[in-house]
Amino acid sequence: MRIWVCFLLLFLPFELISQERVSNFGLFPELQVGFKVAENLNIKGKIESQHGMLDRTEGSVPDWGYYHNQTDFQGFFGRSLNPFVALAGGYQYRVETGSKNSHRSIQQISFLQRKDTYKIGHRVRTDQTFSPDDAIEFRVRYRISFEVPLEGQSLDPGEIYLVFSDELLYSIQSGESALENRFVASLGHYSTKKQKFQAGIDYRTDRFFNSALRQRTWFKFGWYLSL
Amino acid sequence: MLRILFFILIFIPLTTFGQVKEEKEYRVKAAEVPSLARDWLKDAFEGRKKVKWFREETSGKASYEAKFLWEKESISVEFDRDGMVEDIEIQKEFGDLPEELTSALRSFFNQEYQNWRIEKIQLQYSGSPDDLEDLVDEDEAEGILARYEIEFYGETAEDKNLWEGIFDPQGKMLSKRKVILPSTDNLFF
Repeated sequence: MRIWVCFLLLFLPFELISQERVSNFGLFPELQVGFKVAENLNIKGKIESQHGMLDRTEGSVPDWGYYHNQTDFQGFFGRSLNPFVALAGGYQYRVETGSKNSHRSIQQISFLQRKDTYKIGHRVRTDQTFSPDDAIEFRVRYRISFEVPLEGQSLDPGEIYLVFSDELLYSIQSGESALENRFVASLGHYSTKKQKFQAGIDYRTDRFFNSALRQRTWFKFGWYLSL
Repeated sequence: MLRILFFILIFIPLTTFGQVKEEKEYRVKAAEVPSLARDWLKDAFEGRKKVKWFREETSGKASYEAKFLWEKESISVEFDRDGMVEDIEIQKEFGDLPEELTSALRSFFNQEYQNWRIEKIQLQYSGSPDDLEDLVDEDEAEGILARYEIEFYGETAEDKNLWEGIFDPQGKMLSKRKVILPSTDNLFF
């Protein structure tokens, strides 16, 4: 099972490139650090960065070449209402190549469901993006995630696991709405009680309402640290 | 600068793999389990369906656990590292418990907590290997110590926590410990 998953994570991006509609492929590292400031209060800092390697518009020659797409610097202030429900508010500063940098305010509520052998996370998030030359973009998003241990019935330090998630995003800007779907499949390693690593594929589709349907595939790897 | 940041984000995680485990529970094949454990299970639970075996290692102590369905209930039998049976745990629903016990538990939780919810109940039987086998084969409880391990969520004026409590068959709490859930940052952010 583990060997099958590894092959899937290695070769899936190349299969998608060979399809007609792939427009972006690249690398997407992220680092997240969180720590408790008081009982039930915590702060999280996150950096995520997209680096393109392939750009392709249907009918044209693929354009291979490295470029920096964007880097997001995020900070969140979170409060646990109980062991299963948490609220968070955050801010993001985006550095984007070819566009002016933007600011985003973020609000979310998340829920944890524990099953016998896996966990489900639900996240409802709203955000507002402020760019110097654009109208404010408002988004609402829902994400469901599954964390499945691969070496036992519960996930213990030193063990590997799978994470699958799907997120639907609805946005509206200047009266125009848009829809995006993000599917992520990753293999993770729960190294210590304070540290997890994940690597996998982040597959995004958007622009459903016009002819230029966009598919973006990122090879995503993340380091999650709780201090 | 952004290229430097990119390389840092890629390579630093790779250097920190291979941390030491503090506790571990993992699936093992039946052949890896001491024959004493396999033989006891075969005699006590004759006709059981597929068994999943796990090895648990906590603070240097190792044990084996067999999990299977028996008469429509989830059973877990724990053995020490040499294969000697230690206890039998049966997963229960609140509604399946004796009425006297549920009544006592409701009284206890309503008294102690403003809001509460039971997450999981396990009936634990411990005793000698022969007594445990008699319990399964003949429903004979002589020499058997019965306890209920109940995981519950409780709210008080001061806090809201997840607890694991040990109760006797009359519903009296013998001990409790706070359950700390692992970080779910990777699911929520």
